[in-house]
Amino acid sequence: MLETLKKQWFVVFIAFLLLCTVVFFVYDQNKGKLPGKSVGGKDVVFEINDTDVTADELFEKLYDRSGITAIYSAFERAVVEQGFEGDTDTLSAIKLEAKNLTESTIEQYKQYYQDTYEEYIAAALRANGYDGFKDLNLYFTNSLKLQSMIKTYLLANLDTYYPAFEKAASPRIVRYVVIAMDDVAKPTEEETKRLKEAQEAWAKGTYTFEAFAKEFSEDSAATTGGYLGYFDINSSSANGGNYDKDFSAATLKLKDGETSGWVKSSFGWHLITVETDLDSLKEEDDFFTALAGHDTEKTHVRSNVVWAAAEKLGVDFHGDAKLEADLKEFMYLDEAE
Amino acid sequence: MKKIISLLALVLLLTGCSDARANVSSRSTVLLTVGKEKVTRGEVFSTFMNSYPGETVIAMATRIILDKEIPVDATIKATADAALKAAKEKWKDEFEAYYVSQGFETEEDYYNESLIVTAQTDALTEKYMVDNYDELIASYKPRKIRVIQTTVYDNAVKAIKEIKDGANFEATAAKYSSTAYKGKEQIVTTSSTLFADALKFATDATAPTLSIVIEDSTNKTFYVVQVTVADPSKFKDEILETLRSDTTFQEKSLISYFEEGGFTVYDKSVYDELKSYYADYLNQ
Repeated sequence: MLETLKKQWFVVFIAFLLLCTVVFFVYDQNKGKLPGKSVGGKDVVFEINDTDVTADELFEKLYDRSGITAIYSAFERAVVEQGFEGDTDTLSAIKLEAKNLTESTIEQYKQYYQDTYEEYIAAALRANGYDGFKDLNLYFTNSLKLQSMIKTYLLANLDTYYPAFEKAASPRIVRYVVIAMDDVAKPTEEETKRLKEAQEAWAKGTYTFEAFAKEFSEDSAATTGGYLGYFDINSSSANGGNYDKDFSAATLKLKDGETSGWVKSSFGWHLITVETDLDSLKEEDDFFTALAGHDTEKTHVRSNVVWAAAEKLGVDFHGDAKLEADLKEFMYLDEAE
Repeated sequence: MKKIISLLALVLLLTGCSDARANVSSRSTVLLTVGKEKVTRGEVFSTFMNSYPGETVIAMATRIILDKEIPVDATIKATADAALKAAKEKWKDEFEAYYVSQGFETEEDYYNESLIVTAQTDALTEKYMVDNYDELIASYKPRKIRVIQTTVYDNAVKAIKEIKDGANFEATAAKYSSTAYKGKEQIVTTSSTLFADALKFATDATAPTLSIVIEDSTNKTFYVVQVTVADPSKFKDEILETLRSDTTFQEKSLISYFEEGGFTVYDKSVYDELKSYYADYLNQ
């Protein structure tokens, strides 16, 4: 053996050098890496006081705390991805909107987090059961598909959900005119002059509301004939919404097709008109969002939609009665039963 | 030679390992199936691990420390029983709603998971104080002091003169102190909230003494500080009571048990979260 080694000394020398290189390379590559640990074939998450806590034990603890929420997220995603039955046009519209939402979200995160924006988006997506940044578009697509499923469900069940909502929320479609003022309590001569001109023109009774808004209204909605869109009791700043409370109060007082007199708000003076008929409301996506969100503790629209689609697809709890009961309780389906 | 090269190539394959990620066992076990999609145990575990499990990890580790250092005995149970009685008296008919709002399903859960744990935690803090008393005294420098705080410099000067002439400190404070400091004797430590220069004067004192006027130029206020007891051995029980109710100190004591217990994390996502939000608990 020794003779062989002496004869092949150069080969041995090269092998030794290679070995040293590899040992150093292994050391260098693993330097600073967090080591793992397994006990009895199970991965350990942490140890303290010579006690190992495995991933299985952490899973049980987290399952007790928030397991059903994570399972519901995965369940809902599986239902939406398979159970969406919209037509080609609806799907195209969803894809387009998802693309726009994806782009605008990336822009917002970029502005806020600069170079690390992808990490933050990925973390948010992973916490919702998605794989990472690449799933942002999928996340929005699924959200929009669910919205569409909810809309379809509500259209088929308006008799059940709409009467109580109409009574409680006074839903309506709003158009308005604004004669803008910097300080409505102390209008300038110019502002007063513009208001007077508008009031005189409207008093003649020769304008349709839309035509009047296009000619006289002083914000961007003028171009669409003063179109504001969906509005209900929760739109008022008095109820946590975004709209001036005097403007809101005047809007909510109007009946279908009525136009207000001149109404003062913190932005200036307004004319307001509303449509409250169901056919007009059905044209507005925000109407369905508001309807689905109304009195959720009793109505559970989202759960009903997801469960109905799930039943159609077929649900199998693989004999785990507790999981089935927990999920149904989480979705408020136990109340219905 | 070929064998050697093969061996080295195998070793090379093992290099460049990534950070450890702990996985739950039976990852592919299907919890439920919807249509053709399966929701597996592994998928749910991944969601958990991506949803900030650090707080749960700290709670589990704390429980291990508590059960080792402070076993649940009759004293702990008595403390928890008293807390339960107090909670029932406080919340009356709303008691059930209260513990449910705190995340506990039953009274038993609330008792075991909250009241017993709180009693153990308090006892752990107490144990830490007793075991480390000398170090704590050296670090926290507890002193008994009286304080006058005024926005008028001349009033601070007058107060010092009158106290030196033998006037009662509290009576002088009543005359000149313009804020909540009314000259009442209090215990301060290096973690107390008092204007920094005034606190330093107090905690550096080695014998009873009276300060000159201490100026807080930012807030335009002036302090007069009298150190009444500079020897911590003369008020040990009061010091322990003060530290016991100091939440910063409670956490510090718990962190010391994490260090002593060799707290080590073997999962990169948990490690990263702890590094960001619970860095003091990590020692690796």
